[in-house]
Amino acid sequence: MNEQQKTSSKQDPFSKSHPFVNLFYFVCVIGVNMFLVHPIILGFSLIAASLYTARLHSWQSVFRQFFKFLLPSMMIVLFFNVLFNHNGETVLYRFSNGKPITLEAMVYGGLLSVVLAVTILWFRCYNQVMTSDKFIYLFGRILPASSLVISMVFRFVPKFSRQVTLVRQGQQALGRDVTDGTLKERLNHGFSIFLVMITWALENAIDTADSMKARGYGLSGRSSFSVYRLTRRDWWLLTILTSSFGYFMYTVVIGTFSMTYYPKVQLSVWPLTWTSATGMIAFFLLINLPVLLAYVEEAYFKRLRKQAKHHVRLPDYFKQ
Amino acid sequence: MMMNLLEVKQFYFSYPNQSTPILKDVNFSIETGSFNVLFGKSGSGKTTLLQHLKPQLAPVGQTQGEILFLGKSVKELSLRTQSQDIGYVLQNPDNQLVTDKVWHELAFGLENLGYDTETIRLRVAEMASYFGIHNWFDKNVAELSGGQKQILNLASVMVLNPKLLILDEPTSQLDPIAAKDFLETIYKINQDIGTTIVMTEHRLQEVFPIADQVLLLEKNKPLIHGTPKEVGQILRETKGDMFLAMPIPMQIAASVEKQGTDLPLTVRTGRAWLDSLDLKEKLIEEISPVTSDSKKIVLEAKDVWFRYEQMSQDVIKDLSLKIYQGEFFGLVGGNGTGKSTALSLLGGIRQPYRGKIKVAGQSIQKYDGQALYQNLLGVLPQNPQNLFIKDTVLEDLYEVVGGMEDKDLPYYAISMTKKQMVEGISNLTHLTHLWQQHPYDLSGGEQQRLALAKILLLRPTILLLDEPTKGLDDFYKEELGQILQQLNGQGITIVMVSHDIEFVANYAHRCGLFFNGNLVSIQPTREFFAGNQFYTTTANRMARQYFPNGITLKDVVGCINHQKSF
Repeated sequence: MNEQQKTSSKQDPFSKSHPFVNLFYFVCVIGVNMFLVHPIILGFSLIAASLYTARLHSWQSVFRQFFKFLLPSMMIVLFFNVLFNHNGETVLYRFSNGKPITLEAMVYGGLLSVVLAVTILWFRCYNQVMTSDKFIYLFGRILPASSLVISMVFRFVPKFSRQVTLVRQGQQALGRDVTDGTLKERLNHGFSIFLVMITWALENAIDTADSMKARGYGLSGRSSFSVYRLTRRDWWLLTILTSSFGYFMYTVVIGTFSMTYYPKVQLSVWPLTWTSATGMIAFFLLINLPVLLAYVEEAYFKRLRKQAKHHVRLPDYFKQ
Repeated sequence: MMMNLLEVKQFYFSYPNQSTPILKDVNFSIETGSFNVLFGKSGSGKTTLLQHLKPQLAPVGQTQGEILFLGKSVKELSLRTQSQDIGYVLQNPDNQLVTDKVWHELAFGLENLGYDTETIRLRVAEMASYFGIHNWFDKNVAELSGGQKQILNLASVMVLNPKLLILDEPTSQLDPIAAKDFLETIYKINQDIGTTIVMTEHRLQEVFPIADQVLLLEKNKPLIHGTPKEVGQILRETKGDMFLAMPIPMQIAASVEKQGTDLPLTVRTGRAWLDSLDLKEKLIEEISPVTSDSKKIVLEAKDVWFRYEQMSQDVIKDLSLKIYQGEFFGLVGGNGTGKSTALSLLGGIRQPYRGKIKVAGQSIQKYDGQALYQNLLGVLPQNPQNLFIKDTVLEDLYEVVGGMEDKDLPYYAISMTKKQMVEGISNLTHLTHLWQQHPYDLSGGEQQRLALAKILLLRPTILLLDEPTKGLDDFYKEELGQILQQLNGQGITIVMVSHDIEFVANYAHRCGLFFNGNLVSIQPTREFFAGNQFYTTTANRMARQYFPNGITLKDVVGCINHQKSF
């Protein structure tokens, strides 16, 4: 939630569309990314995911995450695949026990590590776009009772952790925080704080229960309200998403993007054919939809501003 | 003839396993559209009575007599009708919020009643606009201030359009400005929509002038009810304890005049009453209790700057402050000016990024964690509950001194046994009769005293208090004030941050006005309040044209008695 506030200067129109559109997009994109290990598709995904993450956060944070976390974990994946996967016919090196290191395993390991990186980037976008209330809204339709429970959990957790901080501050002023004293004393202090937090939670739960009862919780025929509405624009977005995803899947199913790694690396997409080119375009449109949407909106606003500058001819009674 | 909305007839209630009923022969009626305030000391059964007006929330126990809602017994109302027609707002703003989003909270009651989406959308929009919530409609409830949370609680009850709105001490957890806003909103609801209001409240200064009927509930005494003036008159004649809680103008008039029934309720009417007395201007002369040159500095802030995060705004800007040994210092100021932050810096809970804090002549950073808080600094947090850690008051007190056995502790090199210590402190803070209770079950004033007792067991010489009077009624306030004065008399230096200017005016020696991260002025209390036009006590606002530096009730009464005799 906090990050959302920090980046509020940058608008993301896709986040403001209907939660179902958001969810559908992420399911398609992350699904393709996880089940289709293909260098071109992965390349597209990596670029699109970086672009969108940069838009939601900043380029700085994308690079920071890349070097601090993604690159090391990619190395590990690559390393393990090369070391423990001995399929493939192009042997680069042979260990003394006869196990080979192959080019194919290296290529596949490299691609797997990209899958990992891209998936992490996509989930970072997902977290930013699919806020708790959108999630609750979507799953509340399936299980109305659970949506309230989730909402209450989201309410309770920050409240609880704030209270822990306050209690610890109070204990600190008595010289009795978990960081004070010998190990035994620290454990003791920590345990006391833990116990009192349980009491606190139970005490407050009584109030919450009263407040729920007072407003009629438990009556039969509870309905579920949400602030979201499917607008015409959402329908348009859904249409674009389903058609591009549908066409892309069609090209995948007929084998345009098939790929074998063992025993020898073989790509079927090259040379470029009509289907593979259009399939790629469809995929490009699909994954870059949020960023494209943002660019279109920005351009639109720029034009509006220009128009406002040039064509303002207000009637006299507007001038003061 | 108009029908009464609510009628309580010979109502009795006793909790299980208790021989004496807590509510005894309660009789009153509430007119449709009226504004009613129920008051009394804590423990008198106010909350219990309110809960019985909405049987959904009533505690288990034995009842007798009846409560009629529009001529029908409340017990016979269906749960649906109760939920819809009788709204109930509780004390703690945080605990009542059920969901994580503002809009969801507003819709919660309507969802329970099974309204369809379109109706809910309209009603929620209506409520949000009426209460000014639309600006923070999409926020998480955790981001709201205490005042906003309570307004949200009110709005999410009002969205059901109740006929009767019950509020149980709704402002006790709020600062004075938020409390005033809240009470004004309630008044607006009563005036605009005609919703009948029944509330308990300890800020009688503010609600007395706007109430149609006030009801005083006291333990083992019949309920007194009537217009604010009538009840004030009765209290004055019977010399009840609760007269302390009456508006200051009324108290001043009542303690000067022996007869006369038309007691003023507000500063305006109070001024008119003073004018009728034909008084002469008079200055109070007294020697300032603390002379700054002769005394030792025990706590000092030197050019202190502070912000919460590197990228955020400065909260404390170049603060310099000296506290002298043995004084009682009051830090007052508006909301969000950084008062509490300043106190947490002085108490070593937070560290400034520039500047220095010195305790007893030594930089605060040089103290080892435990050494600072033993025998030296005592910090009382804003919410006393945050200090409680055991199941009974007694255990909680012993916890501070490391358990019941009498072994030597490094910081406890004194001749007294622990038992003597705990007993002594309990006597001082009037806690002895509460030893076996759970700390969470104590009333606000008792919790405050327990927190104070815990801090005092560490034998501090400097006591830092953050809003000690928050949520206390006038009776407890006076008790706390006297305890603090007693401690101060024993040589303990007290620094208090407070919104409560009446309390500060009564007890502090020097005051500082905090504004925009810094102290704007520091002066002896009398000059401080006499110099302010708006930010001053009720007594001063009422009588300043005659007694410019009379700041407390006693001052003004003394001055009038000096010139007049009735």
